[in-house]
Amino acid sequence: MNITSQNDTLVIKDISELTAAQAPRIRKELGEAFAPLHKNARLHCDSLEFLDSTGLGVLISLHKKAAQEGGKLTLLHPKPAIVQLLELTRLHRFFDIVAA
Amino acid sequence: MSLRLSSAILPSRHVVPQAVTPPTFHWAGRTTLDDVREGARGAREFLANLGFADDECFHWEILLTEASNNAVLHVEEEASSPSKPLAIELQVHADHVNARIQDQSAGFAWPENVTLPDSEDESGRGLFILMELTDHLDYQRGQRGNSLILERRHGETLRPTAAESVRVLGEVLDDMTRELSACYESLASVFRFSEECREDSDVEALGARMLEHLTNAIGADCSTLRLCSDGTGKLETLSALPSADGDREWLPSLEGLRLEAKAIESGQDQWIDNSITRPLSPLDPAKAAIGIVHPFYDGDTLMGVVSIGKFGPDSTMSASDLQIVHTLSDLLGQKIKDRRRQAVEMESRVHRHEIGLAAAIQRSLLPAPPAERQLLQATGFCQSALDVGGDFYDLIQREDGSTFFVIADVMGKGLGASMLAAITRSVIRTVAHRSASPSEMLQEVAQRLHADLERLEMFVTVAIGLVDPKEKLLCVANAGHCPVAVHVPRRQDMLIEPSALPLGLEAQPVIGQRVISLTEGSHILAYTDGFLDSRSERHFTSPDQVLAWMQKQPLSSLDADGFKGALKQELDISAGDAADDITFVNLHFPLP
Repeated sequence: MNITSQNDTLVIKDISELTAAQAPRIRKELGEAFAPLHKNARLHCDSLEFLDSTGLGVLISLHKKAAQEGGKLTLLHPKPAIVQLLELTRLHRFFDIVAA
Repeated sequence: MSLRLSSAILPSRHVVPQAVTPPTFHWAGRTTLDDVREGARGAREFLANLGFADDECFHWEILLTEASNNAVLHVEEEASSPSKPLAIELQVHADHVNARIQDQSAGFAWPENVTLPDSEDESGRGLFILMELTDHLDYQRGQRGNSLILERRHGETLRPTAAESVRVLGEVLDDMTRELSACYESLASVFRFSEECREDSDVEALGARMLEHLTNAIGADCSTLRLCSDGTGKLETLSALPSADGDREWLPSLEGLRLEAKAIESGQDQWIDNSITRPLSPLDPAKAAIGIVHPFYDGDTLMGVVSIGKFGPDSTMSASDLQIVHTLSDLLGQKIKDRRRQAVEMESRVHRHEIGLAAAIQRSLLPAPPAERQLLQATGFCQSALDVGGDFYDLIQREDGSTFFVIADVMGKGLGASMLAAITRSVIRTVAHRSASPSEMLQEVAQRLHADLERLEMFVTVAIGLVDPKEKLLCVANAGHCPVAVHVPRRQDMLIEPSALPLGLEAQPVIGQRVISLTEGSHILAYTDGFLDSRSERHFTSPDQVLAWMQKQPLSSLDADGFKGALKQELDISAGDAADDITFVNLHFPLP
């Protein structure tokens, strides 16, 4: 996972899987990185191959942190299967999704 | 853990083997988040190799991940070791794929309604995803494991290519051949062992045969069978098979005991993995082993534990391997249960026979009434609350025409009391013919019995009377026994109370005696404390009540037998449900 900052936006790249197995670590790292300075978050989903319900919970948590600051979480270029999962769980209306 | 691609599963004893077995994926591993991801990835790869489209593979990967994550969640909730096994089996049919996920977590109650949580909720979507992505779902929660069955029809995205289909078909046929061969071995082992269990083999031989069958059917290198001892409840090793190289220490004893204790505590199989066995020989990968420790039960009662292991770095234990371990263990458990029931029945029959014999002996020791009835009549009655008891009476006629009567009560009931009663009777009879008086006789009996009674922490109450029909005298010595009731016509009825402690409490007791002159028509009644039972309306509550009953009887017109009949009627003895032993002896000087 690669985390950088662009002004008030936390930029996240290179997550290949976001599941219950990695969720506690990623949730902690993203929380710590977002907390001090950021308003928005942007997840580059090009390399995201798999996501489960616990991984969705991590994204919701990050989105809520952003929303508290008046910002949002944007998902960039998620694969079709990921989009299907977001649609299945009605979260495609919750996150800001930029299609590939 | 293991990852296996095969064309068939072994049929259980409840499943009829299919003529053509569909392509099947097996995975078994530990119930941890990292491990179950490996299983879900393997299933995706399996489907991809069969030509399923990416999104269909993705759906199955997420289904299996969510299903397995639930099992992990409930293992963690019960704070158990992560070594519990989890098995995934995926079968591809013509129009659908189904999966069975078996775990040994505590499980959970499937909610009646599965709904999608609010968008801001960070959890609670797993079951919803499972419901949405399947056409059929069945969750069975059991005491020894849980099973989740998922079924999903093929979407339009199933597009296996012709070349891929040919390759897969070849693999399928190869795997089918291997699996059918293994299937035959397993079924043959089950049938053979089932037959062996019907034969009259002992449990030890059957246990050894079971381990041999497991070795043949699943390729186990080593196995141990420990059975729960019927008497102590402790596990004792019944049989063990060494590994191929003769290594009997395949499972370190401490680890074996730990896994065994855990299996018994949880009632679930415990997984043996390489982390346990590899330290035995870190430089020799062939020493690595995989296996299970399986406890088997009769209801909630532990019957035994079987531990099975396979050596080699690539060894696997499939779901069908587990199933045959379970099946053979169940058969052995049933046999052990039958054997134990037979042993209990046999023991009970022997016990009943012995008690019956003891009762017959005890009855045979009671005296016959004296044949000569003109001067003195005597009779008695003895009934035990159990088949045998500690009461007895005796009549000992002397050459001078006088008669000793004895009544005694050994503390307690049953076989032990009856044995001591027989000993007491024997001692009394031994000293009777050289004793001049009841007091002298009772003192000698007390001395002779004291050491035995003291060692056994028991005591005996005894009353002995000497009746002289010529001199019309009664002499009574009473050591702790119920008062002897005496009726002499035209005189006040009386009770002869004990003048000493029961036998067994004093080594050299001084026992007094009382002499009473009698007349024709006198009645003497000596009885045991079974007469005096305040809980029963049919019994007397005190010696005075016994005396009061005597005073109400037409004693002048009753001989000894008539007195006995009236007394039995009063006590309703024919009911035969006495809570205590009831014994009495009555004597009578008939009127001329």
